[in-house]
Amino acid sequence: MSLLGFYDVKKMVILALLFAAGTVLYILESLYFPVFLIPGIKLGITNIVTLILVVFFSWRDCVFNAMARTIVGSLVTGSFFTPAFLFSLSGALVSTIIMLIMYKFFYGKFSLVGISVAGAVSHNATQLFLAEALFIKHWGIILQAPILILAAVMTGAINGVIANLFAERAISIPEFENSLSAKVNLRRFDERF
Amino acid sequence: MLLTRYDKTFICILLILALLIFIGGLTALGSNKRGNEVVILVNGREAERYSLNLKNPKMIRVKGMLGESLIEIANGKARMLFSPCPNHNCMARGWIDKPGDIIVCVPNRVVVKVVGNGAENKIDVFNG
Repeated sequence: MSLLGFYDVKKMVILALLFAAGTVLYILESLYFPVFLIPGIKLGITNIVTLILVVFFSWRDCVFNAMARTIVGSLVTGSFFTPAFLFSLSGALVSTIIMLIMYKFFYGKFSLVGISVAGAVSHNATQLFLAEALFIKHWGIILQAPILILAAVMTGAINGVIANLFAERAISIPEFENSLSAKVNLRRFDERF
Repeated sequence: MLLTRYDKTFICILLILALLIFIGGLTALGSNKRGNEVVILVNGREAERYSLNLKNPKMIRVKGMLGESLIEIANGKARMLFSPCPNHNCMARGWIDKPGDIIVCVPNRVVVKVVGNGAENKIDVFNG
């Protein structure tokens, strides 16, 4: 069995497109959107792509895509193997896993907005914990948590709404139903509420 | 409706958590300000180490490069009482009591610093 035969080509192309979109959003966000003065707060628009992946693809594809996006994005922005890269990677990994679990077990109870907020908060919590454990070594950094939670709730809700809009439209695109995981997940998406 | 009941509960719990951390953190930060030990370095090496919570005031004589420095510990604070250096900048620093506070006397090569419960702020600013 060849490597390409193992993979469905349409699925691969869609994953590559989503990876490209995620990378572009990552670069845009880290280079051109320094909107907030408080360190640690950003829009997290890359999370939209992760949410779309969580809805339509398997956990393997999600995690791999998120990792690859962070690595390539940090290569472009020049933060590869800096502490910022460490924060980025661990935050992306943990939030992706949290959102996968929430979607798999609690979708229907939580909407995509709730899942997105959970992802954003876990992203921030991971980074705060890492900063405390590795760099600051002082519990006082937890005072930043309320601000981060507040910001995560707002930006997470916005991203969740956008991802929901995308998912509702993408359901009618046959290419998204091509993979096995997509079929299972889409049925779940249709059965909601 | 996009938001479910669970979403709303979840978001409310998060906001309440944020408020609790804010209040708890502020009160804890207000009460736990003092360090508990003072370390005296001469020529970069640790020479003396005393608890800050002594019952009676204590004078410590330390032999530096120029002569003897006199360090006072009283009421959970420490200061450079006298130093043989020319400018007496170290004496002008006054009392120190917070973890990370430091008195440096460059001519006499004497450093007095307060350490907390092993949790010192090693980095001033972090820019990633």
